Amino acid sequence: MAVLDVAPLEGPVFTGRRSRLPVSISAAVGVAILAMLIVLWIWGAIAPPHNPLATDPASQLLPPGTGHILGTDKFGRDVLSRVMAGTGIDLAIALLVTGIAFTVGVLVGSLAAYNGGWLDDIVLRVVDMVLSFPAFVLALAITAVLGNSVRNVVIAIAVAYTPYFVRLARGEVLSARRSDYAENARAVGNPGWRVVFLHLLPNCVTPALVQASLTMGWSILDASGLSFLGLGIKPPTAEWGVEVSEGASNIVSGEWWTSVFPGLAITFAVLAFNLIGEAIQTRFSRRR
Amino acid sequence: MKANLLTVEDLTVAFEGQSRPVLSGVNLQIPADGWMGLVGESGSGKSLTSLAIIGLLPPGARVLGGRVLMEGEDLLSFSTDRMRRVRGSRIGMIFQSPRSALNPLMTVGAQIARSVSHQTGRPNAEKGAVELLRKVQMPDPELRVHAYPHQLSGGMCQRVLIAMMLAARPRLLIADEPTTGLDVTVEAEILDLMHSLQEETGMAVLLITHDLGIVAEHCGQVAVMYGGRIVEEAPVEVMFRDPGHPYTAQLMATLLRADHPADFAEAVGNRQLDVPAGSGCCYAARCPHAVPACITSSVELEMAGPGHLVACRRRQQLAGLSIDEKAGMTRAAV
Amino acid sequence: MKTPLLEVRDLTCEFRVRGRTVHALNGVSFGVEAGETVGLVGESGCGKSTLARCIVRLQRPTGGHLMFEGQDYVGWPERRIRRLRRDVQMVFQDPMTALNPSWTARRLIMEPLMLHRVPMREARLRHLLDEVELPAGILNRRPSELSGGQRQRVAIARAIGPSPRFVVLDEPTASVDMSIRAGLLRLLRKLQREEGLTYLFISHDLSTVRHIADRLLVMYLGKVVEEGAMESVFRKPSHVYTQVLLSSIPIPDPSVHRERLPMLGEPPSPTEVTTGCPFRPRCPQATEECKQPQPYYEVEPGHRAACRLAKPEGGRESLARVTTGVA
Repeated sequence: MAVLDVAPLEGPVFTGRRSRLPVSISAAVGVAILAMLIVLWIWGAIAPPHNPLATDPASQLLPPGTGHILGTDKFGRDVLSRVMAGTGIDLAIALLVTGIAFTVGVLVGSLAAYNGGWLDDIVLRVVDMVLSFPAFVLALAITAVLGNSVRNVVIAIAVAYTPYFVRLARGEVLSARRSDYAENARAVGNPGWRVVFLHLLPNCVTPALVQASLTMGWSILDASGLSFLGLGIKPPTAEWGVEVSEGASNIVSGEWWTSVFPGLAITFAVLAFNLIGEAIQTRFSRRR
Repeated sequence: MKANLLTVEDLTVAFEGQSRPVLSGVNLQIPADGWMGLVGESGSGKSLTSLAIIGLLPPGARVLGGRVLMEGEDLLSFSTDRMRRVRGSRIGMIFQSPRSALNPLMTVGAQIARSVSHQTGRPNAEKGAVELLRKVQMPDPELRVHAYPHQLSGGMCQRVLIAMMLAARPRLLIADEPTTGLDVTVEAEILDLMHSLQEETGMAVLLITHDLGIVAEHCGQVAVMYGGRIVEEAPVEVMFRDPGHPYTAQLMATLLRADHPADFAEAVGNRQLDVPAGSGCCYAARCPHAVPACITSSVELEMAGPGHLVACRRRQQLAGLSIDEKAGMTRAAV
Repeated sequence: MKTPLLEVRDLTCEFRVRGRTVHALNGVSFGVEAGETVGLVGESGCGKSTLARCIVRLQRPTGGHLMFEGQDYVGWPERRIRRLRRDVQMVFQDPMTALNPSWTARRLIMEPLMLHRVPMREARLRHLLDEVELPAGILNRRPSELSGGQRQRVAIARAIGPSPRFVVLDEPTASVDMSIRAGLLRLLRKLQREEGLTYLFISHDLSTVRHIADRLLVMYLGKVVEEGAMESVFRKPSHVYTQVLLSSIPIPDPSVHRERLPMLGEPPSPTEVTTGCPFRPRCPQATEECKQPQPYYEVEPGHRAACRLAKPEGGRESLARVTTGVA
């Protein structure tokens, strides 16, 4: 018994997720910066040039040069080593915050959207409430209440960013819920949770990934912002914001390297995550 | 036999970045009046051909060769400005999904008036809009003229588009699947309307469709496309009674008629040869009568009878076979 | 009197769209016997898609009864319905949108087998591929990498995997090229015989339905206006709407000329409720009597129509002859 139809004759057949587009320059730059930061992190964890916490009164505020490539701060600590140590802390914070916000946010958002009803109403109101505060201000308030520690900073920033994921996931699932393949999944016998997690979410996850990348960058900004203000992470912990804060008074007297280098680290990190986020968006939105 | 209004000669179009052209050497002769049907399945290139004629190829598509001759001039050589003037005044076009072709923010009356004044140079054609709507058999035209497209049904939107196109009195109307997606009763009304308008204005119609039923009812001459090429062109009775090309025969053999009891044509054997793209007959991979020469060397449209062209090198050997035999099918009751 | 496999009784369904109430189904009643294929035709707005979705409970009806093997499932909770879904399945119209674009064919066909705990799934998968005449090579492809006909066959394999008793087919050949349509219908017929399926075949295309269905239901604005054996309805269409519909079908034969029966006015809106016959506003033969709800009159055994012109006692007026060249 023969069946006549064959694969379409016209044009190249689209062969799956990975398109043959070359990687864009911005994506490459973003990944490269991130790679460098990770290298810095590992290097600093294994064999930093100096102990980032070791003070040395004899070597205070040395400009960049031999022995201390990026100079020393007002306590004589090597700037480079401190920046390396800071990389570890800030990236870890970014990962934790994004991990929590993404997981909790997507879960809550998608379930609320799929089930609708009162759960959706409550979630929506809570999200609106939280989002009415600027993220930084909210994180600031929560840290002030909870106290200063890395753990509390992570919680505070995660709380501030979770609603973005909730709203995103909710929006995606809400529109995908009506699609033919979602109905087909139901018609075939899938219970609701399978429809959401196995069918809908995998197709909706791209915007959440983009948001995740951006959140990585923003959480670094928020964490260092908090420590710059004296909240959250406190000295002598080597965190970029702490370092910028400690060196801020020295800029006026001309010793720029203590603040500028950690500041550049923050800038590059945020830039990297922004570029990556943008690249994900362009790459995967062209897929459809 | 009237002279042809428009002749497409050896038209080849490709998309940038693709090695295989989507249209390869398309030859089409559209008579000066009456209806011509252009049939083919999805991907055959029929819509693209019409877009090439009217100068609206999508971005990325480039004409690699050929000419589109209308009244002695090659439309492909026209500048964008000149082509814009041809569109509407000499060639009109209506598409599938009529609602999306209309501006959702303007009343249909305003759109018709605008189109009329654009074509005829006469401003303030509001009153004429009602008349045009009446001409296309729109129910309650005085009311509808103030309606927005989303307030009208698909069939009504198509009538509006026909009205807009009528104002300019083009010589040729290209209708690309104008009734696909419309209910069959509405489709019948729209096509009958187009028929009476065509008879009244004496214009030619190129009807692009995949529905052989409406081809049989409305068209005098039919061209069949496959894989970016015209494989057969014939008067409609010849097409249905004694097609020359195996692909056309296959279309005829697998027809489902509402007025015939159930029986199905089945393919004999499984044909799916691996044919390298490029030269050779575009249908060779599926053709039950293919010989090695069909795969290697290209084939041209040849005269098989009055007004009948077939692009098949085995045309004469296949000439005596029945439709089912040409299509390589057997018929079985279910 | 054998219980029909599926019975629909006085089914109504309304929903609100943009503030207006759409009366999609206004009291639909019919039965489908085991092993037969019932064709359901009607134009846009007649409610056939809503009916399909009510039967597989993707949509909750607002009233009436839906009975499978005698059990009324109209009010069942979602959990119970999921078990019913092993027996009542649906093939959607456009496989491109109905199949998850990021899943492979293998995963798509395997999922219902897993959900309904079908034993020996691998063997069943191979068997299904054979049945729908797909090569094993398509298993790792995604829907976008398949042709239209192949996609629809994957959708069919997905639906019949857990051996359902009843399959609703919602315009399964609408998005498929015409040369493949006949093959797909033949395949569906074959599957019906080999798997013991019962079909409700929904279509707007009478030419397609003619070739697969034993009985025909004609719907208009949420009601069944005519019902009967396929040949009987085609030979003797008794509701004016059926006559108009049959006269409008294009026949792919240049030597056949038909006279199209016209309708009055414009297409109806399912938000407005009419009393009596739903076709009255457009019917060229409507009279005052048609404002009353029309009962079904029997035209022939098993063939009924809700039209005063179908009344047996000589109430038939002369109707324009429809030349369809019936063989």
